[in-house]
Amino acid sequence: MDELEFRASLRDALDHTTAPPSMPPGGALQAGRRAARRRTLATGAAGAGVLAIVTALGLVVATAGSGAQQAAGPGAPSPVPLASGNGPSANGTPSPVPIGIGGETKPVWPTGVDGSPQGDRTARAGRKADAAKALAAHVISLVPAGYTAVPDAPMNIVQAQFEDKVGGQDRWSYLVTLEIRKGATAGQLIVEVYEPGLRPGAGLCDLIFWSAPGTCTTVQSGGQTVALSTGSKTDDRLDKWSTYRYPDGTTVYVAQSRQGNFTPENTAPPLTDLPFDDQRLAALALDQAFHIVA
Amino acid sequence: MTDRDTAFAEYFAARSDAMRGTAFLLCGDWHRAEDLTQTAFTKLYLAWNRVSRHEVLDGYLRRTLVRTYLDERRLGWWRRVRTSDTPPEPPTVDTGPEERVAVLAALSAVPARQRAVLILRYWEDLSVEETAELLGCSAGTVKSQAARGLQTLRARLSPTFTTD
Repeated sequence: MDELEFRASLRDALDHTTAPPSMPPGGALQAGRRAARRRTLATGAAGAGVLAIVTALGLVVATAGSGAQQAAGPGAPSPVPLASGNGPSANGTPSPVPIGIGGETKPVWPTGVDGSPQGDRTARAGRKADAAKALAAHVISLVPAGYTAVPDAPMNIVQAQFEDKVGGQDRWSYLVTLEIRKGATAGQLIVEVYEPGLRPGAGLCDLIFWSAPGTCTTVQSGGQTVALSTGSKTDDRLDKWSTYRYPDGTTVYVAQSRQGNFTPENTAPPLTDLPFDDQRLAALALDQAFHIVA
Repeated sequence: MTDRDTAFAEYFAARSDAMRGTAFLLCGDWHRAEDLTQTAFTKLYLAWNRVSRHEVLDGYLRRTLVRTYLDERRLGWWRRVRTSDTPPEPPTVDTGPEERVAVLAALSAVPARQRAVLILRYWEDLSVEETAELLGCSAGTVKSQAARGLQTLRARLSPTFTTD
């Protein structure tokens, strides 16, 4: 099924599924008015609450000055710092901040090169974006003899993406997918690098890449332990990949796929052989060019 | 009735059916589709004075609908908010060709976020960039999610669409 067939199927399905009668505007209007009243009441209650807290704080300050602080004793709980509005949330995701009426929230992304927050996770300029471009150039240089890189393939991805805050620091991932050709067949090289703290896990085989592997074993390469994984029956996009985590926590995945891209439009026959054997694939995970510190 | 109420009621009458159709494709159930649509319009009502032009209204409503749908999936069925005590009239299920039923069934097997990408791209005709902006992700993510969603659909529908 391609896009056009899907679109036609949706139209056909909706056309032939009898919907309930139209929703009356009166009901929607009443619901809107109720919500507006609730919001007004909540705003009023919040204002009263703030007033009460301010009053209480004033009382505490006043009584502290008169010796009540000492009366609290050593067993009193420590003061809890007030959370800042834009700090990281407990799970490290960008904190949502209210943007006005309706209580709608949106995440705040890292500051872009122009000094204002990015519109989404992806860096389109600046050192993070440059690091992704450098990564892509290096992946192209690794294409072995007998294979040809297709750097302008439409489904290639070169991306630096904000992932999370870890220990108060922005952490990014870098993804490069590169279509490669051998005769009429096509496949892909895929490299993804995660900055420190984004891929915690006890062992290398616990570090899931795009999905759980079919198999995973660890091997020694250049004096380091590297994981080699194979794709599973439920996810056949990646055939084999290597994983290495640096002592600083930077995690590198180097993958190869027999498929030129993962879209339904991909008609190129798949590669018959993968470009890298296990030894080379393991060594590539240790390539210093993938140890991005940007 | 205030000016806002009049304009809102007119806009609701004009757009609620289309929006409910989109909601139905997202969630696969007319009752839930009505709840999603009602919730989205309620939020729109609250923001009405900020969102005045109709092309902006459509975008705001679509964004709210999809985000409500995704939030609902994240929060779980049991925390959904019923927007009306009166359930809508039972929908009539058309017993059309097998493919029509199969497409809706296959769509329900696609993960929620991928489904949202498919509906926004191929039903609402949003561009990759518009879809990415609405979902707060990158264009690359939209492309890969769309490809994976179609792949899932294709896998689910392969017996139906196989011709001898």
